Amino acid sequence: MTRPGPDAQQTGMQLTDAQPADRQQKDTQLTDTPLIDMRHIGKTFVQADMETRVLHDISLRVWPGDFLALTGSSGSGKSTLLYIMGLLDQASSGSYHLQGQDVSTLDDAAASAFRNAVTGFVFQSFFLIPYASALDNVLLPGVYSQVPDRELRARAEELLVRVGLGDRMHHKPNQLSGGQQQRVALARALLQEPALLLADEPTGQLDTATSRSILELFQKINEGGTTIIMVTHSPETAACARKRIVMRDGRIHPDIPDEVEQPEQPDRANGTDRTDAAEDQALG
Amino acid sequence: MTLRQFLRILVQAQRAIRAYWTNSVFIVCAISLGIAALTVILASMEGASRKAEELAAKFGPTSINIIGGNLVEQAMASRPMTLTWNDVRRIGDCMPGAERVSPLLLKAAVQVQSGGRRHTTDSLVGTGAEHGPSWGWYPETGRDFTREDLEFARSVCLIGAATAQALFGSADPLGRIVVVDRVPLVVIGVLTRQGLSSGDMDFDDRVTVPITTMIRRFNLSRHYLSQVRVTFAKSSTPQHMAEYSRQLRGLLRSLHGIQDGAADDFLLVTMQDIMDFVDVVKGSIVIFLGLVAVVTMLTGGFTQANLFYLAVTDRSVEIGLKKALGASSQAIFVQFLLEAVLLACLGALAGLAIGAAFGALLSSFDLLSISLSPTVFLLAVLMACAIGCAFGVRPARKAAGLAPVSALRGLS
Repeated sequence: MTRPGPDAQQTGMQLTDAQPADRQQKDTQLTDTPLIDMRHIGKTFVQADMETRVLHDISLRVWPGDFLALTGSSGSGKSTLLYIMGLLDQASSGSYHLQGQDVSTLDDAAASAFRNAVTGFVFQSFFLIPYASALDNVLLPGVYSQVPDRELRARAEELLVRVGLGDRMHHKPNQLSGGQQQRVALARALLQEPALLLADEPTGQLDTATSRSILELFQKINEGGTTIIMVTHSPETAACARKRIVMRDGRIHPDIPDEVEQPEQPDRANGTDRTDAAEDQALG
Repeated sequence: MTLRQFLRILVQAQRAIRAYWTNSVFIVCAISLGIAALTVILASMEGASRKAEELAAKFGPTSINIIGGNLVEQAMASRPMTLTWNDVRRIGDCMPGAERVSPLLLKAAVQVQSGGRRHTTDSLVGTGAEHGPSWGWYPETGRDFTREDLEFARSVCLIGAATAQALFGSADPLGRIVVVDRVPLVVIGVLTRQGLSSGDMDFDDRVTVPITTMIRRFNLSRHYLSQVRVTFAKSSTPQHMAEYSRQLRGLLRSLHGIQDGAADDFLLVTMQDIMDFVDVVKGSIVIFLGLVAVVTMLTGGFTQANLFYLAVTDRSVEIGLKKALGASSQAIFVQFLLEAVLLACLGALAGLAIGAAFGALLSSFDLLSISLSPTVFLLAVLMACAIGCAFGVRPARKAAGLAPVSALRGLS
């Protein structure tokens, strides 16, 4: 299904539209304003005078309430795209609107405020502060917010109960299993009640059973209305999402699943083709 | 950044300091050494000032000592006898504000014995009547010289506290006989302990006799004197004393027939001269110890900067994570700077403790007089904060400047 945006209607450009059909009519206001609206996003890393293009002309819309899996082989550019979506990185070209606001060229303070209020991150390696308790880890995003301490603490405790760690609040990360650590990370990502939850290989370090329970949590969170974009190279994990986009060589793969139409292919003459090794090198 | 965010970041900084305690201990140690050196300097300066005030008070603010010889000859360890009894008489007659004019004769390193004990005192001194009011130095026990002692050149003496200790130990010296150069003298008093010394000469190790006794029994010059002390009215102000000093110098130059342009053959010493001299000594100590403190503090600062640089690398994932969760570069900068300043303040407290202990040790060996005050404390803490800020800024800036994605990948 393709939704031409205002510009697209004028230019005839087609956008990859990640809104599931059953949610399109849920809220008129929401469906009119995509949560994520990316146009012609490109990303080029320059190192030692060598340009490496890792994203090519990505145009994509994500609608509120969606659960999208970004899949592809290692080095396909899916994590880079996720970081740009989460304002951890900036695109080299193109425009990016988040919640209707142009966030392509935000300064550090504004981008940080957006990350704190609008997005939540879950990482493959959990990234918990080792010397802080589970509760203090969950409270971490609150440090940079204006929410009163008491409210933050109530939210954090409630979230830990929701992820099944009500009896582990004061445990340090090294006293928790991998699955429990990822639950803490998930609770942390939800503390600021973000509209967008971004997950980078959230089950990459977990066994099958634990992965399944974490994915069930993601599904419950999504059912609560939170938009989720999850990077994974595992087809089983991607199957839990409502939508799936396959990336290859920095592009949304033309051989995409039924709901998504292939976006226009950019001219490849201006940049070198990227490889896994090249991306790793450029990021380093 | 709001106050609420600042306070929360302060808590984060304090937790990080505890979590990375080995780094923290090294930084605190490095800074504390510099602050300890600074504490010793500041405390010794205060101690020296206090000592100078005590010294000036002992010398007497309204007295002028005249010493024979000039500065150049003094430097050559020579003290020619240029002061005469005539000077004493003329000063008494001509100086309007002079209440007392006291002559003094001095002989260094004299053998003294009493009972079976022998001792070499640093000095044998002959003075006029009323040693206490004339020299501002009274007997602690016994009595002072009288005019009769002087008139009849009696064989009596006042001894210093150190001499009394050397000859009599804890026994009472009053009424005992001491033999100085085969001259027997009756001890009539023990002088109060001064705790002062000049070169190798301990002021408390002396035998003092009436100056007439000194001339007759010890065969010293009848014409020349080693020193003369002129005491003016107690109400004399520093301005008056400066004027008296100027007048006294003019009178002595005239009495000694010194031509215009020629150097003085005497030296006038006032309380102000002592204070000026102490200031010069203090200045030298400040320069020497100050250099030590600067070098030590710089070393501490560089150690802190290096360890913080390493910490930024070690903690890059934490930095990236915090940025991902909404920390701005400013928030990261503030956290690392707060860590640096907090550690510097801890270093200041440790340094103050080390400095105070070291100062007490030096004081116990009489090497330095130490006085700790709130000013010392405040200066040490302020200096530590300055070090923390100065050497914490660059690592904090480095941490703040890390790109979130690179930081999350552990790259800095």
